Amino acid sequence: MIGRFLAGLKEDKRIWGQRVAGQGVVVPPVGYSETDGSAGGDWVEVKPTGVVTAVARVHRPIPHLHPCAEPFAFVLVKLDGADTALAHVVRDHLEQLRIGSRVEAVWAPDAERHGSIRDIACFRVIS
Amino acid sequence: MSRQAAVVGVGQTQHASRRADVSIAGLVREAVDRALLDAGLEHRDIDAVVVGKAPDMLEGVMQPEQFLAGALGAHLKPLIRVHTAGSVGASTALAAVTHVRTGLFERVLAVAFEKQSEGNAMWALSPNLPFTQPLVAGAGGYFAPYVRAYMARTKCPPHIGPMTAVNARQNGGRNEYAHLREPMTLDDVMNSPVLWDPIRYGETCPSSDGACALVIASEEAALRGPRRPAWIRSGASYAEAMWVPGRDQVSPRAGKICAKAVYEGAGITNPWKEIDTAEIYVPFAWFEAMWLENLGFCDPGEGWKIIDRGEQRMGAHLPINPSGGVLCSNPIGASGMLRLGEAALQVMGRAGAHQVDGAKTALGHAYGGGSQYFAMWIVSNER
Repeated sequence: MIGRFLAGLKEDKRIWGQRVAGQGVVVPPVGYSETDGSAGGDWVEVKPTGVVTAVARVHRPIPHLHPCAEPFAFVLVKLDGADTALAHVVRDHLEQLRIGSRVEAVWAPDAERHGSIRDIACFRVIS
Repeated sequence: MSRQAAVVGVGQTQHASRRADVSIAGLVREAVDRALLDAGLEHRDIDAVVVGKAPDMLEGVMQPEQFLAGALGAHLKPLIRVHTAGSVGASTALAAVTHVRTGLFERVLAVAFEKQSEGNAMWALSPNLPFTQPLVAGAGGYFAPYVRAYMARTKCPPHIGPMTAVNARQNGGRNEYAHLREPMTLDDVMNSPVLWDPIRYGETCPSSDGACALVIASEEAALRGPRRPAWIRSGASYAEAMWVPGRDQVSPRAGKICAKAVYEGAGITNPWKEIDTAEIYVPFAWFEAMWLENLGFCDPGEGWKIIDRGEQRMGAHLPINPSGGVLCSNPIGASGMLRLGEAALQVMGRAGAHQVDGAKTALGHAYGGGSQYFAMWIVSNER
C-alpha cells in the first residue's frame, strides 16, 4: 500500500493517492477508509503543487531530532487533486509563508531518493 | 446478563518475527479483514469495537487504540481498550462477550495485537525505579524461579520441558499461521543454550508480530450467520496482587478460582473427562505441566506425568495447544485471543490441519503479569 506511494516518489517523482469511501483522495494513502473501515479504492495521481493549510515554525531546531538544522516550518500541504493534507517542511522564504500560500515539492537528487517521505526534500513557496 | 453469545468469526495474521510489509494498522487490518470475511459481515454490521494489547511500552506507541480507530472501522462507534498484560487478548474477547451479553450490542469486534519487532518487549518492562533494585531479569528470568520451584515441589524430571517443546513444535508444524513450524528433536532442545536456568532456548516462545480478531455475536445474530458458531458457555477473568504474603506463584489462587468459575458456568464437573481440547498460555515449556495442575485437569504434582505419558498430544486423551500455542507464535497482546480463537475453531470443526477429531468442548486460557492475571472461556459446538 504505502510501498506504491513511496515507489512513486523514488522512481519517477510522482505522487499517488487513493480515492477512499467518504474521504475523497487521501495522500499519503493508508489503504482503508478512516470513516467506514472499508478497504481503499482507486489510485489517483496528484500534483506536486498545493496549498498550505497549517504552519508551525521551528526557530531553534534540535540537532538530530528535527529534519532541518536551520530554522524551518512544519506545514500541512493539501496537494492539488488531494482532499487530505500531507505533513512536510518548508525551509526557505519563511517570511512569505502563510496559511493559504501556494507551494511546490522540491525533489531530492536521484541518488538520494530511497523510497521515503524525505524523497521530497521540502516544499518551497511559489506564491 | 442472561443472553447467550457466540463466536461467529475468527481471523488471524501470518505470525512472524518481523512483519515489515505492514504497519501496526496494516497488521491489525489483516486479522480484522479475515474475521469479518469468516463471519460474512462488513464493518457496518459491527456495533462496537474492543481492542487489547500488552503495555504501550512494548512498541513505544502511546494509546495505539486511538490512532487505530479508523483502521478498526471504529469511527463513530463505541471503542474501548483493555489492558491486562499477557492475558489481554483473552480479557479483550471477554469484554466483547460482556458487551453482547448485556444486550447493548448485537455484534462486537474484538481485536488484539503486538508488533514486537517495533520495540523491545524483553526489556521495556524493566525500567529503573527509584526505590527498587532492578533485577535485569527480563520475562524469562522472572519466570525461571517459578519453574525451579515447580520442579522442586513435584520432583518433575528434567526432560519434561524439552518434551513439551518438541510436542508444541510438532503441532505448530500443522498450523499455517504459526511463526515457528520447523520440527525439533528432544536432543535439539536439550542441547540448546540455557537462557535462564532451568529454561533453555528451545523451551522459550519466539518474539512475534501478529494480530487476532474475533466477531462476537448475540444468539439471535449468531443463528443468522452463514456458519455454525462456537457458543461461549462461560467466561471469567481474575487477578491477584503481586506481593501478597504467602502467595503461591507456582499455582496461583486467581488461576484456580478462574478455572472453577468457567467450569461451573459451563456445567463441567470433571474437566479432564468433559473437555476435549485446550489452548493454554505456555510461553515457557514448563508452564504446560504447571497449568495442567492449576487448571484442575489433575491433582497437584501430577501435571508433568500427563506430559510424560503423552496424554496431551494430538490424538491422545486431551490435546493441549493443537495450534502449537505460544511456543510457536507469541505476538504478546494477541496471544491470549489466539488461545480463545483457536479453542473456538476447534469446536466449530474448522481448525484445518490441526483439528482435534470430534472436539465439542474446548478451554481457552491466558495469563499475564507475574502469573497474576487470568482469563478463560469454555466454548462448545452446542448452545
